[in-house]
Amino acid sequence: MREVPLSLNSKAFLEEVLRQGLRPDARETYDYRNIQIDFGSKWGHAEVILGQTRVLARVSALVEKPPVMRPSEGSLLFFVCFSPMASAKFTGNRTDFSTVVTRLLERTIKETRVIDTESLCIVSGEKVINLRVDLTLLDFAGNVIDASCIAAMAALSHFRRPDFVVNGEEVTVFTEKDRDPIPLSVLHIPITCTIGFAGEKILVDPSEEEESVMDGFVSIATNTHHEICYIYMGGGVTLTPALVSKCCEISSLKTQEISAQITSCLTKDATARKTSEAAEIEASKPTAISSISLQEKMDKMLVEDRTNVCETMETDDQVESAQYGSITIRYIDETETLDSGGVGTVQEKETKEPTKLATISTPEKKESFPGF
Amino acid sequence: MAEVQEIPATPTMVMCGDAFAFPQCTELTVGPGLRYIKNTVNCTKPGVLRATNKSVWIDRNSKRYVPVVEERVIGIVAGRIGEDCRVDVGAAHYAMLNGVAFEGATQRNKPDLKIGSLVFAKVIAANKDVEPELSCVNKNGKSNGLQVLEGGHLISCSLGLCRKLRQPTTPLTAPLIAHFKLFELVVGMNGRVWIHSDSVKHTLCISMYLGRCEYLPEEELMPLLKDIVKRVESSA
Repeated sequence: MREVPLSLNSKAFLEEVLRQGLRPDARETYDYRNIQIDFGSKWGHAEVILGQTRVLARVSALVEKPPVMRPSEGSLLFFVCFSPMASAKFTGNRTDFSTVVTRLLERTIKETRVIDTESLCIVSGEKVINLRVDLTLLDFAGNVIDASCIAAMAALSHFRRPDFVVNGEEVTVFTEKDRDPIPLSVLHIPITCTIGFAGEKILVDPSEEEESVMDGFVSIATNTHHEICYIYMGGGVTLTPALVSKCCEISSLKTQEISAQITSCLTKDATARKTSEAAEIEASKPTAISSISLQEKMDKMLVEDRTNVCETMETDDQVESAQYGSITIRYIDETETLDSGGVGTVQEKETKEPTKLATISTPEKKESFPGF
Repeated sequence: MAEVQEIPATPTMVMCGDAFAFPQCTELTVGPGLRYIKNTVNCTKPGVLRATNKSVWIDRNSKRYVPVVEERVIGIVAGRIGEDCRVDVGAAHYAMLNGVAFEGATQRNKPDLKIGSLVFAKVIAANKDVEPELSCVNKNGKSNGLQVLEGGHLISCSLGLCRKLRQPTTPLTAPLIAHFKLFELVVGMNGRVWIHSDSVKHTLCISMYLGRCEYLPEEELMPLLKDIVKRVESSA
């Protein structure tokens, strides 16, 4: 499917809207679109929906040999995929813009040392934990940079790495079942804030329509400690120092809000996990009935079936077998009767048992009765 | 394979694979999404099945446009090849529009179609093996409203919304008519609506309204418009 080109009419209209001080979706100047952060069942799975833009982030860890240059540090790699289902613009090949986003995330998150990579070292020079963040753009509606950054930070804050123990030469890396995995040591949370420029107007969190008419943009990453982590400028717009410092202030304010939102979503996810774990434990507790052994269970079933079967019979033979109703309980210890009846269908038992009773039980037990 | 049922009298939701026995008749019109095989009508697309004595069809909503002859569409000029224009109508292929196919146009006097211009045209040829063709003029040389659209704003929507808007008794446009004094809507069957009004704010309100009104019940349409107008006025 081809991308719909922007018509001259729409371009002129959007420019006029911006000139009049409005935004095409009637937002205020400094308003972000609605941000929704969801976590998956696996650790490190985060999905961010910013307006209509959707980004999925997955963090995974591998235990590998470190490079010779950095023997006692783990690594953090970013992979960004602009999938064609996000927009008709993307063909699935690596575009310039996807490289820009990857590089921006590396600079914002890796080079500002968000994750303490030395804590990822297991045995210096031999084994380290290498983290990998895979970001997939699912829906494109403007401002991919912010959505990707929020998704990456949410996923890294959510992720748990495998626990390990080093005993001299021996290293044991525990699986999730053996020992609870440990959260990463996230030292600070940088969030980017993208601000577009169209003539005089600034557009915080530009939507797809705004991006199609804006002259350029700036992405400023700040953290909650009011530190600027990274500034990236795109497009051909000249900025004055006053404008840049204003954008930094906006970014700082937005970062406070968004970091608070990430933290609250993480706590919500933690409580949700606890309640669902408790529910699972309740469900898997053995009840009074199920604590009986399998043998006894089968005994019970067979007795019930045989008594039912005996009730329906009418011949003399069967009357005898009805008498044997109480005696057949002993037969259950014999492997033969178990095999014939066993845990099969009720119909099978009905057809087989009468004959069995007749052949096995009648001669022997009749004799034993007088002996009693 | 689904069991063959009788065609239901009231419109019912059908899924792909449902089959219906149609009473024998001399002429039967079968709409898109249906196939007539061995006296049964088989559904190949999901939707609402409707039937009359002589025709049966499926009502469904979609976003991809397939050109059909005689339909009026809004196209965006994407390029020029000699005298013809390549026009994007949202279909799999570009459509061709002759530069002279306008009312009162001659070789020396024809409209200037720049790349990105909007054209409201009619599909005159739509074969699946050939590029579709458009024209802004009928056999008698009259345009009947087909022309290059100047100004205004173009929005994309679903094909179902376009069909609803074209119905003369639609409740969707009633709030707009009540609220705005002067506005113009041109609805293309290819999922595009061109909006033009006397002020930028009004056009913005109408475009936001059309984006959200499709599935709302009738009583919620006016409140939606009022809410949008309030938001646009307050954000100025």
